[in-house]
Amino acid sequence: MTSFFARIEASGIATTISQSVPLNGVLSGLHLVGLTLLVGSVLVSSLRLFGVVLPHEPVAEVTRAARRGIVLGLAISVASGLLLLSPRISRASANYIFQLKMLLLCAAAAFHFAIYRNAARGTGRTWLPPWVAGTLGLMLWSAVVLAGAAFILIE
Amino acid sequence: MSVLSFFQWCAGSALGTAIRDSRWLFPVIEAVHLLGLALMGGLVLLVDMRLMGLSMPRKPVAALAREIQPWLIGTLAVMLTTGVMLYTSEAMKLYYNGAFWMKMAFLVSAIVYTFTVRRAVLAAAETRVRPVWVKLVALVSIALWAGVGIGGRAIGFY
Repeated sequence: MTSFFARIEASGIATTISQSVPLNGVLSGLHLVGLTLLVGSVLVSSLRLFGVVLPHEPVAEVTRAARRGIVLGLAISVASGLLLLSPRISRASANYIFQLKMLLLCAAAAFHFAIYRNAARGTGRTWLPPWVAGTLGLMLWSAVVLAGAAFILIE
Repeated sequence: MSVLSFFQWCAGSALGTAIRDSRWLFPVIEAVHLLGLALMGGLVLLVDMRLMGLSMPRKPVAALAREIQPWLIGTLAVMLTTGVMLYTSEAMKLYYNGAFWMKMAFLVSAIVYTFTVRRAVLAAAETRVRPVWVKLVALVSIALWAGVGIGGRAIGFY
């Protein structure tokens, strides 16, 4: 694993990113935009699952755009996150806050695609009550954000 | 009072000092600020995507905007409150930070735009405004709020 990380850090992309502050800034901005899109969409659709935002509109109607936003936001966040990580992957992977963030990210993504997405479609094809799925989804993605913020501050 | 002396006063305030001296206050306030930004993004997108015809096509724009308005104002209040708290803790650093001023320019533009142009279009979108203008208004709104987020993240790079 160590040599694999060393190869990533020595790659042309990682070297270019590590030597350019503006590129780091753009990638960080994109990472935040992706995160905002992702968590904002989760927040809106979860608030609908709780029945507090637009309670008289069908769940599927309110969450349709949000479900696309979650997938697009996740794709932007992961792509920009991998690029930001490439010059310092050895150091980051040794950090326990970063390890926690990755664990939470995997759990949140797995929960989204296995359970939350069905609950947000409002089809009833989920064993969890909608408000429980909304609460768990919100907690998992909020934990990813908190771990990310803690990683930035500690690093 | 000059802008610089205002920033100096904020940096020396009891609030700024308390946040600076605490190990946990800054990260906790920043996390709430980030969640507020995310919710704001989600709410803005929900309405702007409706303006672009990409979500809730059967819901009248004006009715959707009316229902979302209290959430939007509440979230903005949380963002502004936590933002001011974070600002007081590092006011002098921010005074010399170009990204902070860029973020403030985007924030003021986004707030003014949301409560004037966008609000007027939301009220009249389906009757008196041509569809192409409605879509443009939505795109400008998304761009302005994205500018606020990107400006905020860029502060750390100056």
